[in-house]
Amino acid sequence: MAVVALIGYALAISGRNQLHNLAKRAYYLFTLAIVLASAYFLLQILSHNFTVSYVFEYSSTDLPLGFLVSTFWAGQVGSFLLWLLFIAIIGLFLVHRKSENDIAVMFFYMLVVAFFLTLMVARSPFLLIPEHFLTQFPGGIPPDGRGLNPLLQNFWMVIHPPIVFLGFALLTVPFCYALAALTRNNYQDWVRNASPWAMISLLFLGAGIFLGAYWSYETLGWGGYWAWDPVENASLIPWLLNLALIHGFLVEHRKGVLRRSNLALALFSFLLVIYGTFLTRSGVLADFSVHSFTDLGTSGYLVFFMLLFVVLSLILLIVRLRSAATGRSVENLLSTDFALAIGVFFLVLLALLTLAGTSAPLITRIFSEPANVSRHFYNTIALPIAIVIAFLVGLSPFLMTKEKSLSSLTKHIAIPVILSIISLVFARLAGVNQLQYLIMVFFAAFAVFGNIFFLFRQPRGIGSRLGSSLTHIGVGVMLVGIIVSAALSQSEKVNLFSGYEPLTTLGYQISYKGLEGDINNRDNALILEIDDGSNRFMADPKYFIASENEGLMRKPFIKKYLSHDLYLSPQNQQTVGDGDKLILYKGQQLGIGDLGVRFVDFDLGSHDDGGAMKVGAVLAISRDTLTEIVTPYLNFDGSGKRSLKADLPFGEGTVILRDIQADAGMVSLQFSGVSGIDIIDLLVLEISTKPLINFIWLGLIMICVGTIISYFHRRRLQRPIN
Amino acid sequence: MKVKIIIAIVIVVVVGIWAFNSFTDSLTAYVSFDEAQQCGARVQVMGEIDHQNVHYDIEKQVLHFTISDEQGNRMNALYAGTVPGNFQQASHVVCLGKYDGTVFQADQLLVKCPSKYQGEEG
Repeated sequence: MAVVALIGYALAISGRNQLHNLAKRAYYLFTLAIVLASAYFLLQILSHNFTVSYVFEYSSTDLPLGFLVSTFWAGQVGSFLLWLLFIAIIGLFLVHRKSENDIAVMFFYMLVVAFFLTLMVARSPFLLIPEHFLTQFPGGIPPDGRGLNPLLQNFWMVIHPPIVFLGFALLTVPFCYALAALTRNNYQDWVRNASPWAMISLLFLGAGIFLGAYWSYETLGWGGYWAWDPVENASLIPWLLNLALIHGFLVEHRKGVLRRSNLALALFSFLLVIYGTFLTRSGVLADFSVHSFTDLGTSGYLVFFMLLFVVLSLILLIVRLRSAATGRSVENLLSTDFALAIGVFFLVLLALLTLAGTSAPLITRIFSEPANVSRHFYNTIALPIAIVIAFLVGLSPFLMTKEKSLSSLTKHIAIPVILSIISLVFARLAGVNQLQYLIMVFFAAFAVFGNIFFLFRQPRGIGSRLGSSLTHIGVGVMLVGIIVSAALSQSEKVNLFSGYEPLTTLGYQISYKGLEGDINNRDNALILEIDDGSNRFMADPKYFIASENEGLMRKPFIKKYLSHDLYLSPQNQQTVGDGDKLILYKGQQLGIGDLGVRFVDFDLGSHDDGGAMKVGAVLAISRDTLTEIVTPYLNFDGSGKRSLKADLPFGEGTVILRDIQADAGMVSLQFSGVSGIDIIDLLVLEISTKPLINFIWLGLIMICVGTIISYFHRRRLQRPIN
Repeated sequence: MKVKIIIAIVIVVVVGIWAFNSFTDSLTAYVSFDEAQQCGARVQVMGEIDHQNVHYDIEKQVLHFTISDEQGNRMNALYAGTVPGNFQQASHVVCLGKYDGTVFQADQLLVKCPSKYQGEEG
């Protein structure tokens, strides 16, 4: 690894001189070294070499191949290596270019590489387990590893990190182009060079964020998909800035303005990737986020390099403030460019506000108690900004071609506006009440219809505008999905006993059949039969104890309809009946033999002088239509607990009170002389209906596809932008 | 041009004030048990979970538990949402919510299992 570091530094320095060929070869060597290091690392994982600390921590022998490979990026150190690998490979596309500008770009690129190499050296993925720890294993070799966190053993979570890291790695390129342009004070072609990379990054990072959200919804069981958690925000903020940058590039290319803000955006989208990495990996936010990982000692390096790059960027920006300007300005208020500039402004605003919220614990620590902002903050600020952006997205295609006059503009947007009003009415009728949600629906619909109409009005066919229109329609669709599912979701928690009559809630009839499989086996399933009025189907959410960390895991069951999702999330599961024993909570009734047993209340007996205490469970025992009260008691005295038998009515056997939990309102009973029962499970299930939530995924898919189309369209044109 | 700049500044100032208000309104400070009990506002507290004293009320579907801080103070808490899977294994928990006079009503729980890459919502 040290050799690689040396090469990195050599390249950094020689990049500035005429030793270009030497530098190029050194770069190839460097990339080769990284690829080999990664391959070697993967080999350690695949061969289950548990003497390597990382392999021990994150993998085990029972992992199937796919998950085993994914342990490469499961831990911090491995993920840095993956990131570095991506950067090395991306650099291959840059290193062969010969212009003076590109040499400068490579210089800065190698600075970034040097930073990553330092991290690798500081905390090598190949670190072995310390000697004294190994002695507890026979032969000094651990037979098996700790295993992969069960939450990560999931298709989405396997592919999500590499895609996100690729998105991050790609942002290095515009960063370096911006630094090179500023340093050399030469801005010719900087847009043309940097923008393809920015677009690819937008696609991958965006897809990565999408996958993370979908995973959260589909696997975790809390019913949501975005929690504004620091790790989520850390990927969103650079993405938003990059999105602003891409739109800013359009303006810079057409009108030559916004150059300085574009340069700043290119610099800061990368810098905020590093900052986000620092926030989430250094442990600074450990008390504020479920996602934060403890400090591995790398935070010092992260801070150093971050400050280095930030200072460098700021100095360059300030020094070049005058000379980087193009001297032109946006004149026409009705022009596309003005709308784009406003859009850039609001995207940056959203990114900055999210950044402020995410950094809140750090900021407040300076002034007083460290504090965090609630999700409410993010939702409050995001909504108005999203409304403005939806408006611009809907309006912009009409401003696209020529600067139109106000009257021709109104003529063109009339129909989309009418359709949007109709959508608004629909939403209101469906039950959306809050004013800000209705406004959002209106503008999101406007974004959708505006772009659809524009697309089909194109004289030259839809080809040239398909990419951006599709993306913008996707934005509108996604926003509608977000707002409607937020406003109209309903949720209930119900108690279901296995084998008992179905329960009806939220329009569904549900009966619980029982737990299939073992609670310790992750392939188990809670079997439910659901009747939605027209169909009957089985549901199989999961609830099990994972062997890797003894944690309780749940996996929801989701049934997708066109208009909504049915979301079932097990909250708690307990065996309450088995053979001759029953566990009852206050007010509940179960059956044993041919008797119905209902736990009515506790009978807290008196203390007597000897300090003994009697507690009883008042039971209503029924058979057919007859009911009688029976109260078995538990005696607590000096010699411990004693159960007093109580006779069951109707000439049957006896019942004793085995245990109570007064706080939980629970009693445990044992019967004799009655025919036993099969297992009865109690399942606490959360049932939710989420209208139009699939619009969110549909919209995101449209955004991704539209971005891909746009990218290829731009490349095919050979012209830089537009 | 001047008009545009003035409009821009006005917008920035207005947005700034509104954002700042939202920000400070939603700050949930990390406080001690005492402060949480006196303050009544939404705060965060962290404590060690007393696993002898955790139970899930099936009837109302609420989790009851007790946490203790470094000084040994104890506070009862309850939580009605989806319980994080590793609650039973966690040593400490961060609770966000309000103290209602008798018990801390948490609307969000963050469980902590040190030294492992965890990704879980609570």
